[in-house]
Amino acid sequence: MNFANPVFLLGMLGMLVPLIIHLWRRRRAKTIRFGAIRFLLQSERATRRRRKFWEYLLLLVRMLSIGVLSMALAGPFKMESIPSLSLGDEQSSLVMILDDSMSMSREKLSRTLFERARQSALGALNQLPDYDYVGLVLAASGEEVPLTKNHGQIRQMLEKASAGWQKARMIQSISRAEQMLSRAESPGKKVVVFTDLQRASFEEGMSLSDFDGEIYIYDVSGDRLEPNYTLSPVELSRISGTAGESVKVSAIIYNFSDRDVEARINLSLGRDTLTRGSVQVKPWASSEKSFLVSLGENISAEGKLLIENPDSLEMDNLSYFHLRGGGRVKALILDGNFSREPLNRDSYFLERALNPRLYALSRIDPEVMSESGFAQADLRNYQVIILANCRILDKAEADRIKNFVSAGGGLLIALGNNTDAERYNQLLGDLLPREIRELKVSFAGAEANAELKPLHLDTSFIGDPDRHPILSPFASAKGADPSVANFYKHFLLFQELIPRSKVILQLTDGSPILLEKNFGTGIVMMFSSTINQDWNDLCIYPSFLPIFYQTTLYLARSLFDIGAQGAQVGEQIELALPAEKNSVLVRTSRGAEMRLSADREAEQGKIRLAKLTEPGIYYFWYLPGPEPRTELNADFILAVHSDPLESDFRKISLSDLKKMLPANKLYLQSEDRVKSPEELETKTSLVKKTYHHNFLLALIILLAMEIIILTRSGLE
Amino acid sequence: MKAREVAEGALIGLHHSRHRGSSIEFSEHKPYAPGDEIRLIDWKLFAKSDRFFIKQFEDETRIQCYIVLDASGSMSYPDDKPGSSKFEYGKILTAGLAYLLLSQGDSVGLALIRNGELDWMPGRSGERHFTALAEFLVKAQPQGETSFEKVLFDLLSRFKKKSLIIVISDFFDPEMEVEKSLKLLRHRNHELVFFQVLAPEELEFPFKNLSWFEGLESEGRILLEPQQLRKSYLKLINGWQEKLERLGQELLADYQRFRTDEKASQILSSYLLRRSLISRRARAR
Repeated sequence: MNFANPVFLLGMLGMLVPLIIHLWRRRRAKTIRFGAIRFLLQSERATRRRRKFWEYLLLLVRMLSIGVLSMALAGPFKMESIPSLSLGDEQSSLVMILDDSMSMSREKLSRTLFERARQSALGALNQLPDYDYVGLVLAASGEEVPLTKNHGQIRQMLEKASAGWQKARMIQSISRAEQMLSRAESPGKKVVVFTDLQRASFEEGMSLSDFDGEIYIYDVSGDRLEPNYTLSPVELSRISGTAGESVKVSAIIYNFSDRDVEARINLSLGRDTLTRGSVQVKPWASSEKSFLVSLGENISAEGKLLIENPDSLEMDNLSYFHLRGGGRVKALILDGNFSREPLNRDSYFLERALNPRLYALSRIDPEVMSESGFAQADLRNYQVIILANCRILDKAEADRIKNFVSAGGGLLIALGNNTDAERYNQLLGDLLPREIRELKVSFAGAEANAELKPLHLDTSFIGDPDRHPILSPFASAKGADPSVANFYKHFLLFQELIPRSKVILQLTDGSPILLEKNFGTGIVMMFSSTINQDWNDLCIYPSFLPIFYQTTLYLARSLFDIGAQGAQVGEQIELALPAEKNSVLVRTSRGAEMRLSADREAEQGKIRLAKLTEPGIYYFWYLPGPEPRTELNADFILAVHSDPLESDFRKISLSDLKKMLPANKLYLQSEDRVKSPEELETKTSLVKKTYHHNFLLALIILLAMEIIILTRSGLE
Repeated sequence: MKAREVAEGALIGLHHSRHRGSSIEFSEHKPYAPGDEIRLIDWKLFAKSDRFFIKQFEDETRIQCYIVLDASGSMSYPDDKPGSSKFEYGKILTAGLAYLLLSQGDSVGLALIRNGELDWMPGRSGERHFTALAEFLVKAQPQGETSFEKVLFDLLSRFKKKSLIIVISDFFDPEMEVEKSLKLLRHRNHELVFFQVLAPEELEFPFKNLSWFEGLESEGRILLEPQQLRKSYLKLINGWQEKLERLGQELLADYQRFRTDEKASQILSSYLLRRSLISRRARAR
C-alpha cells in the first residue's frame, strides 16, 4: 500500500498521546485525605472489573481514533494493474468482450471469476477518456452494446450482466467486435477480452487472422485447476419384463481432474431421492452410471441425477430428465373394408389386440369406423389414428391426417388391396415414411409350377431390444417369437436418398415391413402388408398383440414418455404449431409461464422460443388446449442441460490461441502476478485505488463508540 | 463560649432530673467505711444484721452521664480546614452537652477513644468540673484508629451504675464491630444515645478529578475516578446510616446525625425537643 501524504503517518505517533495523557493524569492526581475510605474501598472492589474494562476500551478507542485519522490524512492507495487501455489523446474505439459463460461462475478466493472479470472491465472503463467510443459484447448470451460515447450505458450493462449456463463463443464474439469496429473511423481499434481462457469457449475450426486492431486478453482464472465433475444429459430406455415396466436411467460422469474419483450419484424423482450409487472415474475420463427405476402407471415426474462430490462448480453437477407414462389412449381405426360382420373387417384382429375383452388392463380404447365416416370424426378425442387398408378418399382427408400428425398425433398406416400406391404417394406425400413402389408377391420355384413361398421376419431385428421400444417385450419373452409368421404379399418401398425413416422390422429378403418417421411433432408408422390375415398370418400368432399394442402406445407417446426431448442451454427452439392451435404456453424450469403466439403469415405457424438460458425441464402446451394444464397433458417436454464441455476448465494453449487470432497484435495478461514464460507480452497500466474513505468511516464509528462509552461509564 | 451557645440553644434538658428538692428518697445500702458520716448509718439494719451499713439517697446520686467521643484519625476530616473537622464539631457538641448536663446538676464523665486507647475523665458534677472538661477537650487531638471494641471492656468497667452514655463518632469502623459495641453498651442497661457526625463531602461526594484517596486511619491510598464510583459510594454510605438508625430503634437508643456544615445547637435542640416529648408521653402512660 502506498500513501499520498506519507508525512501524516507521523501522526501515528499520536496514538501514544492518549496513553501519555492517561499516565500523566495518574501522576498528576491530587491526594485527597478522606474519612469514609472504607466505603470507597468497598465500592471500588465491587466495580473494579467493569471500570477497568471501560477504561481500557476508551483508551484503545482513543488511540485507534488518532491512528485511523492519521491513516486517512496520509491518503492510502493501492496501484492495481489492469490491461493497458489508454490510447493516448487521439480518439479511439474499443470493444470489451465479457465472458459470461458457465465456467466463469466458479470461485477464486471467494469471488467468482465473473465478478473479477466484471470488476476489471469496470476498472478499465473508468480509465478511458470520455471521447473514446466503447462497445460491449457478452460472449455467451450474445447481448451487446454498440459503439457509443455514453460510457454510462456500458457501465449499466456491465453491472446488470451475470454469468449464465451457456457456453461462450469467443471467436464469434471477437469477430462481432471486429464488425463493430470496422464502422468506426478512429485509427486506434482495440478488443479487450475478459475471460478464463477456457478451451471450450474457443470454437474449433474458426479463426480470425485478418483483424487490423489489437486484441488484449485478460485472463481472470488462476493457474491452479480445481477438480470439477459433471454429467451428460440423462439417457432413458425402457425395459419391459413380466414384472412390469421399468426404465433404465443412465448418464455419463465426467471427471475433469487429475485424480481418480469415486463419484457419488443421487437419483431423485419428484421430490424424493429414489436411490444412490457410486462409480469410479479415472482422471480426465468418464464412466457411465445406470439406475433401474420401476414405473407405476400414470406418472409424470421430473427427475434429477446429482453428483454429490464437492467440486469447484456446483451448478453443473445436475442433470434433468422427465418420465411420463400411462394414461388411457384413444385410437381411431379407419377400416377400408368396414362391414357389418366384424370378422370381415380388416381391423378385426387389431381391435381385439388393442383391447381384448379379457385383458382388463388394456390402456387403449379402439374405435372402428368406416373411412367415409372420417370427415365427421372429432380428432381432438384421439391420440392415434390407424389406417387399415384405406383408400384415401380425397385431399381433405389426407390434409386432416397430416395436420393431426404434425400437431403431435400418432398415425399407423397398414396397407392392403385398397392401397393405390400412386394415390398414396401423391396425397400423403412426405407423411409416408417412404414412398410406396409396388406390390410384391413371394413365389418360389420355376415360373410354371411356382408356388407361394412365404417370407419371415428378420430375427436379427427382433432380438435387439435397443432397436426400438416397441420390440422390448420380445427381448425377454422368447415364446412369442414373431418370426414364425408367414408373409406372402407386401408393398415394396422406394429407397430414400437421405434417410428420414427408421426401419423397425424387415423381412428375410431385406424389405422393410414396419417403418417409423417423425412428422411435425407427431410420429408416423407404416406396416407395408395387411394388418389382418389377407397377406400374412402374423395376426394369428401371439406376437401380433404385443407388437401393435406397443406400437399404438408408442404412437400416443404413452408407451413411455421418457422421451422428453433433450436440448442444450443456449439452443434456440423452434416449434411448428398444429393447425388448430394459435399459440403455445411454456412453463420454464423455474416455473415461470409465458405465452408465445405464432406469426402465421411470416413463419408458417412456427414459433421461435427465445434461447434456453437455464437447465431444467420445460413444458409446452399448444393453445387452445384442454384445461387444466398438467404436466401429464403437456404437448411437449424439453429436458435442457448444460454442455458437459463447458465444465472442463482447461485453458486453451497459447499455440492454439495464436492460430486462431492474429498473433502479432495479441496481448495476454493474467490477473495472477505469476507469469508463464510463454506469456506473450504484458502491457499494464496502473490504477490508483484509494482507501481514505474507509478510514474516515472507521473514524466516525470510533467517535460514536467513544460517545457511547462516555455516557455509559461516567468516564472523562 | 461555643459550648454555652450550644447548651443555651438547647433549652430543654437532656433528661428529666430526678433531683426533687429536700424530699430525700432512699436509694441503696453500702457497707460502712471509716470516714463515712455516722448519721447515715442504718441502725435498724445494724440491729438485724449486726453490721454497719450506710444509707444512700437519690439526691446524692443524680444522673451519671458519660460522653464517649471518637478521637480517631477519621474524625479529623476535613483536615485541610482548621477548626471545621468532624472532631472539632464533636468537641463543641461534647462541651455543649456537658454544660447542659452540669448545669442540671448531673455528673458528667468524658472518654476519648483514640488509637485503641482510652483517655478518661471521671464523672463529677459542678461548674468547676466544666472548666476541667473544657481544658481536657481543648488539648485533645484526633489520631489513629477508633477501635471501639478494644476499649469497650475498659470503658464498661468504669460505668459503675446505670448511666446515660452518649457516643459521638462518625462510626466508620467496620459494621460488625460498631454493632457489637453498641449492643454491649445497651445490654448493661445503660441508657444509650449515639450521635453520628459526618462532613458534607462524605455525604455528597462532590469530587470530580482523578485523585488518590488516602485513608485517615492508615488504610492506605487508592487512585480513583470519583465520578465512576459516586453512585455506588453514596448507596453504601446511605445504607450505613439507615442501618444505624435501625440499630437505634432496635436497642431503644437514640440515633441522631449531625452534618458539620449545620449548626450543632439547632440539631441538638430539635433532638432534645423530640426526646422530651417522647419521654413525657411515656411517663403519662
